[in-house]
Amino acid sequence: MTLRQPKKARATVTLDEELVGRVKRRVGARGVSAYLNNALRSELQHEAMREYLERTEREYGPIPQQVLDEVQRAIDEGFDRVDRLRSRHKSLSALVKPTATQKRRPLQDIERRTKAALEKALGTQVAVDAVSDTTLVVNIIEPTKGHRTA
Amino acid sequence: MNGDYILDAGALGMLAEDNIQMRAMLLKISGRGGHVFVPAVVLAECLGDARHDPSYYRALKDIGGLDECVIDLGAEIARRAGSILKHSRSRETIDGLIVAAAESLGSETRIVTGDRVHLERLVTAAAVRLGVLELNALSKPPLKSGRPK
Repeated sequence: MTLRQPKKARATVTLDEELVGRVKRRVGARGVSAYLNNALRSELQHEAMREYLERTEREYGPIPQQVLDEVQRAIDEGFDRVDRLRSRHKSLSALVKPTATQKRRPLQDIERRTKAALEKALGTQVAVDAVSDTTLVVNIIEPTKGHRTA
Repeated sequence: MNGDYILDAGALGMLAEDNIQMRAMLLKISGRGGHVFVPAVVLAECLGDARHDPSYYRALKDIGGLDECVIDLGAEIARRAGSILKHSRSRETIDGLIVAAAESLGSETRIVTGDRVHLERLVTAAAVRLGVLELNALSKPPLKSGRPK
């Protein structure tokens, strides 16, 4: 990660000897400035966020528990959908894993061949979208229910 | 678990409006010692209109200011964005840069967005595990929130 790089200034500060020792053991003598820089950045951001939260609470009142619970759930589940999509892609890739020769073929060719193989195996129409030469998204077209993504 | 969060333009807009769900999220992040970042490209999406610029600048100040939260997008992030876009067969260049910026923060970084659908496709092509949060999708809060018009 690259945060914006402002000019550096030299500062003389007095710190607990034991604390400096722990930081040096963790990052080495040359990494102390960067470590402290990051710690100060982090503290400044948290201070700004706390001030924002205090101001908005004064202006709009406290955040209802229902909203806090919903947001917590969204945070906890932030990875679930992406993980499901990833695993779906992975399992389909394994199912229709291209051979070494196929890897050299254009994606459109892989799509065409996979579509034909899946339609034959499933006995229903499918739409195949090759995300890469190892990842395919397959839409199973069920005559009565319409599209279902797999 | 990584406590880093990336905001896209929609999420930064929610912060600028003092959206109640965004407030709740910042409260959770702050409580966990997490950090919030904004990729520089998001500024390009949000800034430029004199009527709205002040609220965006204030939103950026609320999460530490430009120096504390804006991620510069160098050549490495641009290169990764290109790869992610190609693998996901997407042309959403800004979203690609956002996902690459999130990737640069490491595994388990979460992207807060106003539009999950576009991002999810790109995130599955990232080299590390990333999460996507769409605060817009949550139910409407029971109390009025947001900056008074």
